[in-house]
Amino acid sequence: METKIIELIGPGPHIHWGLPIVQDIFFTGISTGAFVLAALVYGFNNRRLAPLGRLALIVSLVSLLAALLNLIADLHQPGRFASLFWRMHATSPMTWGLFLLNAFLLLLAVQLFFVLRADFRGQARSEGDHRVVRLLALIGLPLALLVHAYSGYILGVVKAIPLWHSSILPLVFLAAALVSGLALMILLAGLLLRNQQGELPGDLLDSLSVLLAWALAANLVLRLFWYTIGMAYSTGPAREAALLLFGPSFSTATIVEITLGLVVPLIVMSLAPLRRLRPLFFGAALAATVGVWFFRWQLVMAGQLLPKTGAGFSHYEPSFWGSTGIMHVLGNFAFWILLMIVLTWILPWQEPQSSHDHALRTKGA
Amino acid sequence: MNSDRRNFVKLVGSTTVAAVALGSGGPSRAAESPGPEGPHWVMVVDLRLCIGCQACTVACGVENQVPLGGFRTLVSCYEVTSHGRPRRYTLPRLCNHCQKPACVTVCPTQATTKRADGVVVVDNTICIGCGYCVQACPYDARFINETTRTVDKCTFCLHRVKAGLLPACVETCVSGARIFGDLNDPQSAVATLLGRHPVQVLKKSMGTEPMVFYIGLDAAFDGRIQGEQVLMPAGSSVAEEVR
Repeated sequence: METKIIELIGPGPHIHWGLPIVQDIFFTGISTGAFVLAALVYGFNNRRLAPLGRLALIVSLVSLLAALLNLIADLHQPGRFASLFWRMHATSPMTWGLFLLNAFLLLLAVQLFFVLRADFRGQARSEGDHRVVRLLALIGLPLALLVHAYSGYILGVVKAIPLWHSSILPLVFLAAALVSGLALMILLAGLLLRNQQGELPGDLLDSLSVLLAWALAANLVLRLFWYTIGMAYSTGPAREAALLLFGPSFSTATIVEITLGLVVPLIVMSLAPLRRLRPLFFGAALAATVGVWFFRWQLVMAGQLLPKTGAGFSHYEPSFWGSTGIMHVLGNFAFWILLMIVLTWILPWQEPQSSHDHALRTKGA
Repeated sequence: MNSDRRNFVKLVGSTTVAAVALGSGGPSRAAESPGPEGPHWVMVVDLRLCIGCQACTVACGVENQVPLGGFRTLVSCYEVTSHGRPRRYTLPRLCNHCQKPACVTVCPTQATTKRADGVVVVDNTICIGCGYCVQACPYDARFINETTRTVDKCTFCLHRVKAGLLPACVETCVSGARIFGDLNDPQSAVATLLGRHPVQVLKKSMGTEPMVFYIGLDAAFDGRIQGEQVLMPAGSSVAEEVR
C-alpha cells in the first residue's frame, strides 16, 4: 500500500529572483543577439546586413544599459552595488559576470564612437577608424557571447535548483539570445528601414530571416537534448523539473514559448512564400521575441517554484506595483524605448552609402 | 543563576552531557579563539524525541528578532498515511552549517563565510542582498531579512555560545531533541551521540556535507518531500502582507 504524505507546515519557497531578473536576462540576450549582427557587418563585412549595423550597435548598447538597471534594482542593498568591484570572490560566477558585463559595455561605447565619429566630422570613415571598428567587432563577438552565456552559467551552477542545474543551459541561453536579438532587429528594420524606392528592404529581411531560422532551429535542437537527456531520461529531481514545465507551466512553457515562440516562427522564416506575407512575417518575429521573454520567465520562475525541501508545487503571481511587480517590467521597457528614441534621434543611425562602398572595396581587396 | 540553569538542563536527560561541557567554561574560551585546535560546533537532532511543538521556532524568533515571515529554524510537520493509518512526522530544519557550503562559494562579495569553528555566517554590513546564496542553499535555510535588507540565517546563536550558553532553540527544546556541542571534543554530547547512533543528514547527494545530524530520519524526508502541500507555506501570507 502506498504511503501518502501531506505537508502541514513547511518552509515555503519564496521567490527571491523575480521579474527584474527575467528582464535582465531578456535584455542581455537582446544585447548579445544584436551585437552578433553588428559583428557580421563590421567584423565580417556582410554587405546585405550593412544598413542595420549602426542600429544593431545602438540596440545592443541600450539593451545592455536597460538590463544592468534590473541587476541593481533587484539587490536588497542597491547602495552597496559598487562594492562588487572590490569585494571580489573568484568562485562566484557573479563576480566574473560583473567584469564581463562592464567590459562589454565599455567596448560597445568605444565601438559606437569609432563607427560614428567620422559622421560628426562630416567626413568618410578613415582607414584607421575602419581597422579599429573591425578589431573591436572581432573582440566584441566572443565577449558578447560570453556575456550572455554567463547569464545561463549563473543559473546553471545552482545545483539546489534542478531546473537550472544543467551544463547545456549557457548554450540554450545563447540560442535564445540570437533568436530574440535577430527577431527584434527584423521588427526594427520593418519599422525604420526603407530603401531608396521607399519600400521594405527585401534582401536584408531575407538575410535576417535565414539567420533567425538557424537560431530557432538551434534552439529547438538544444531544447530537445536538454529536455530529454537532462530531464526525461534523468533521475529524481531533474525529472520533476520536466514535469513542472509540461504540467503546471504548460501554457507558458509549451504553448506560448515552444509552439508560438519557436516552432511557428521557424516555419514562417524557413518558407519564402510565407515570409512574403508581411503581416505573418512580422507577426512571427514578434512571437519569437515574446516567446524568448516567456522562456526567461518560465526558467527563472519555474525553477524557484519547485520547492527544494517542501512538498508539492508552488504558485506565483507577480504584484502590479513594487520593485518586483509588473510596473517594473513596463518601466524597464519604457526606459529602453525612451533611450532608443533619444539615441536614434541624436545619432546618425543610418549607414551612409559610402560605407557600403567601403565594405565592398574591402571585400574585393 | 548559571548553576540553576545547568541543573535544570541536567534534568532533561539527553542534553546532560552538552550542559556539563558548556558548564565547564571551555566553549566560552574556545569560541573566542577558533582555530584548527578549537571547537567545531555541530547539532544533533534526535527525531525520536521531537514532538513538533515549535518552541524552538518561537525561541529562535524572539532571541534573534527574526522579522515576521522569515525563519532561521522551523519544524516541518507532515501527516503520513500508510496502510490506512495516519501519523504525524516532524522535522526540525535549520542551516546545516555544511562543511562544503554551496552558499559560500557563490557569494560575490564574500559576505558569507564559514568560520574556523564550523559556523556559516553572513556579515550583513557587507551583504548586498543579491540572493544568490539563497538560491544556492539546497535546504531553504536562508532568507532575505526585510528589516536589515540582507540575507539572514541561523548562526547557532553564536552570541550565546560565546557567552557560554546554548543556542536558544536547544535551550528551549522541551524534549531535548536538539543537542548542540563541539565535535572536536570526544567527551561532548554530540560526539557521544554520533559515536553511538547511526545518523543521517539532509540531501546527502548534494555533496555539501551537512553538520546538522539527525537520528531517526526517514528516507522519505531526507530530500524534497514527495507529497502534497495543504496549507500555505510557513510565513507566506505574512510575507505577502509585509511586502
